[in-house]
This record gives sequence, C-alpha cells and structure tokens, in this order.
Amino acid sequence: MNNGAVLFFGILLTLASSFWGLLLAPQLQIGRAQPAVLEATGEIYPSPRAGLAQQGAEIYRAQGCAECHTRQVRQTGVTFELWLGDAGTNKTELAATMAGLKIPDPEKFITQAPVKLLGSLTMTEASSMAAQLTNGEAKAQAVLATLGPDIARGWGKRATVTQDYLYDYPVQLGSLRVGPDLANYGARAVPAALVLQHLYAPQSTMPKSMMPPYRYLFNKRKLIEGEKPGLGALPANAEPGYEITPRPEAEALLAYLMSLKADAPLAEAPVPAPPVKATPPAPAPAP
Amino acid sequence: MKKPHKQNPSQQSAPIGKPAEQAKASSVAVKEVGDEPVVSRNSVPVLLVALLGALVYWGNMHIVEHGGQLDARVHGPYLNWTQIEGLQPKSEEQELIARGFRVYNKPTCVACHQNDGNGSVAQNAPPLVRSEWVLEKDPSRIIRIVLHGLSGPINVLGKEYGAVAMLGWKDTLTDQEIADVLTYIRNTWGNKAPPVKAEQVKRIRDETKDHSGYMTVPDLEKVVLQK
Repeated sequence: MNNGAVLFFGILLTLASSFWGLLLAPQLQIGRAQPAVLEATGEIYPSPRAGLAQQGAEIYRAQGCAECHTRQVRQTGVTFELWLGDAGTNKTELAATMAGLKIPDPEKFITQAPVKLLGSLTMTEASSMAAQLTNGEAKAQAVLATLGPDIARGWGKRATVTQDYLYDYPVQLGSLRVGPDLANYGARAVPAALVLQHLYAPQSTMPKSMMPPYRYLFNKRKLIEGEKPGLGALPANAEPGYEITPRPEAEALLAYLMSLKADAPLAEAPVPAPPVKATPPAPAPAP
Repeated sequence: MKKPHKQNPSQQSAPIGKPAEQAKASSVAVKEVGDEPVVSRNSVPVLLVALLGALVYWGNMHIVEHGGQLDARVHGPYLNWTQIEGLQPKSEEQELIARGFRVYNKPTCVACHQNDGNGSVAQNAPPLVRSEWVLEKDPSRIIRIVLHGLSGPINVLGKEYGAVAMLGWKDTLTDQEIADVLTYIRNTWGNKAPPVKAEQVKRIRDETKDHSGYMTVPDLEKVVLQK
C-alpha cells in the first residue's frame, strides 16, 4: 500500500461526487417543495389525500399495482393551434381575412365557433394570425397544445411533474406498462361500480385485459333462492347466484384510484385551454 | 516522467529459492520462470485520457442543454424557465400588450421614443412615460397623433418640444396594430391607462379621413374628450 492516500482520496471523491449528484443536488432542488397556488383558480395544489384514499395507496402498494401500471405521463413538446373563439358580427370581413390566411372553408368555421382553425403552428405564427383575425367583436386566439404519444392516448393533458407526487410516499411511478397509465385515472370519470367490477373480474369489463383478478378484496356470499344482491354489491351478473361486496381494502383502493388526478394547470406544466362557448347569461328572475 | 518505483531489493534478485535448494531440485524438471513479475508505473494511455475528457465534456454539455439550468420548476420537454414562462396563459389585456410590444419594436415607435419610452432629446422626441397626452383616459387625441403624425410645438410634462415632426402611421399600421401599440405604451414603464380598442381607432380614422398633413396641437385641442 504505497499509494494508500491516493487510493483513499480517489474513492472518497468518486463516492462524494455520486452522493452530490444523486442525493444532495436533488434534495436541494426539490427537497423543500411546497404545494403551489394555482394561478387560474387560486386553489392550492396538491392537497393531501383523504384518509380512505391514503389507505388505498397502501393497498395499491401491497397488491403491486405499480408493477404493471405506471403513473407518469410523458410529453414530447408543445405546438400551437389557432382557434376562433367568437365570430362577432362582421362575418364577411372575417371570412375575407381568413381566406387571406389560407384557412380552408371560412364560412363553415364561422358558423361553428368556437372552433379550431389550424394546428401545428409556432407560437409566433399562431399569435400573429390571431391578431389579424381579432378585429371588432371577432376573437381569435393562439392556444397551446401538448404533444406526445401518452397525450395522444388520452392518458393526460400534460406531462406529470414533481408537484403531482408531493404527498406520495413512496412515489409509485412504475416502470412497466402492461396496463394503461393511471396518472389521471380519477380524471377519466370511470363509474365506481365499473372500477370494482374490473378489480373483481378484469376480463368482464376489458375482454383482452391481462390483469389478474383481485377476488380476495371482495366478500362472496351464496344467495338463497330468489334473493337479490344487497346495496353496495356488484351487479347480479357479476357472478350469478352470489352476492359480491367489496371489502374495506377494495373500497380504499377505489378511493385511491379515484384520487389520481394530474391535470391541474401548474405554471411549470401548462395545460391546453381552448376557448369554450360562452353560455348566455341566465334571464333575470321576474320581480 | 516520474521516478521509477522504488523496489524491494529482494525482488530485484531474480532466481527463485536459494542456490542450495536449486541444486537439490536439479533432478526435478523445474520450468524456468525468469524474473519475478514487478508492478511498474506505466503512464495512463493518452487515448484513455482523451476519451475520459470527451466523456466529461459530453456530460457537461448534456446537463447544460437538458438540465433546465438546474431549475426545479423545469421538466422535460421544456428546456428552461423562460420558455415555460412564454407559454403561460395570458389575460386579454396582457395579450394586447404583448402584441403591442411587437408593433412598437417593428421598428416603428422605438426608433425615436426609445426602448424605455423616455424619448430622445437629439431626435426631439418627447417621452411617453407619464406623458399627459399618452395617459388621457379618452384616447381620441393620441389615436389622432399616431394616425396622422404630429407637427410641433407641443408641451409634454412642462417641457416645450419645438420642431417635433412625427410621421403618420395610417397607411402602415392597421386599426388593430394601432390599438395594440397604444395599449402597450399606456400600460408599460409604469404607465396605467385603459386599453385602446380597434373600433375606437377605426371610428377616428373614418372621422379624420379628410385631414391632410400632420396633426398640430391646436387641431388636437379642438377634440372634445369624454370624461
């Protein structure tokens, strides 16, 4: 050991640099992350999960759901779309301007407002076109659109970011996609009964699903002749002649799945917001 | 180069074992092994150093390009915070101001009134910042100035500007562009005044279409302002 000191400091430096790069730097960056206040609504995001959903996170972990389901939406880029929000009153002039911008079928679009006129534009193109179309009461705007295979599959509106996992411990991102991504499962408005049915017998709701059944999360009771399944049980056709009721574990898992939403318009992950049709003001109540 | 490694004297004497033992084992076929292997200090190959250097360079450049400047708010596919900031949804007025900024720097106004809106003494351009002409609640006068230009003298913020000659923009800029740029100058550099609408510009353009030449201060003072 003639070079003990060199060896010692070499190993120390190597370990210290990896400690710095993999542990300390991320900890300094996001270790003290706090819930953000959403610019649009003033809401605080994220909020801690409700108690039942928090228990469900443990069930999700215990059943190994993260082995086959990821919880991360990837995004490859952004593009801009030109939307006509309101056609206004001077429709002939608007149609002429639209024709000048080489937009096909201006008359058809004008009747359909709010409608997307063009896609795949750069920000400058879209906003300059929107500026030309916005005149008088006509309102056009450049709208952000997110790109990526996950977004095309309808798994989310934007990439998932650190903020989405702030109250998760451990963060169950998952790395394999045997089943669909669940980052926005709660936002997809799947009826609760269907989710339970899927947990009990996956192939009954998704014929080609590779998901194993989780029957042990349910109680099964034989019905006597002519008896109907009680309240809160799976529908009668789930397993004829039996009453299938979710156990507390299944209820908790359901609550957790319904709490999975990563679609808040965060500053670091802008969400597309196309114009919506203005609802006419409600008529004033008669005095 | 460094000094050769200081070796153990016993290692330097090559033959294995003692002479007596050698003689005793002479009947056994002993393979000649030569000198005992010695650890020497060869220099690291230049190619390896170059390769490591290239790797470090590539790693650094990768972090510079994709690291989001080590900002915790930046996630892929975005490259830096400036890019994300540009994508934030804007209110209608912010959008007008952003468009007005582009018109101002086309270059049109910026040539004389400068980036900071303080004007230029050399070009006899009055300031736009805090100017009572710019911040008038009713924009009828300022719209006329932009449409037809202005011939001095004009008093801005208590200072007399004599030989002012501002070009008219009625043939160059559209109603919307004039509205945008006016909204911009009325809401930047600390200015605060209501936005200007394209319809207002269009109305005044129609009203003054018979006006020839520049506007002058007496022309403008004839305009009745709405409270």
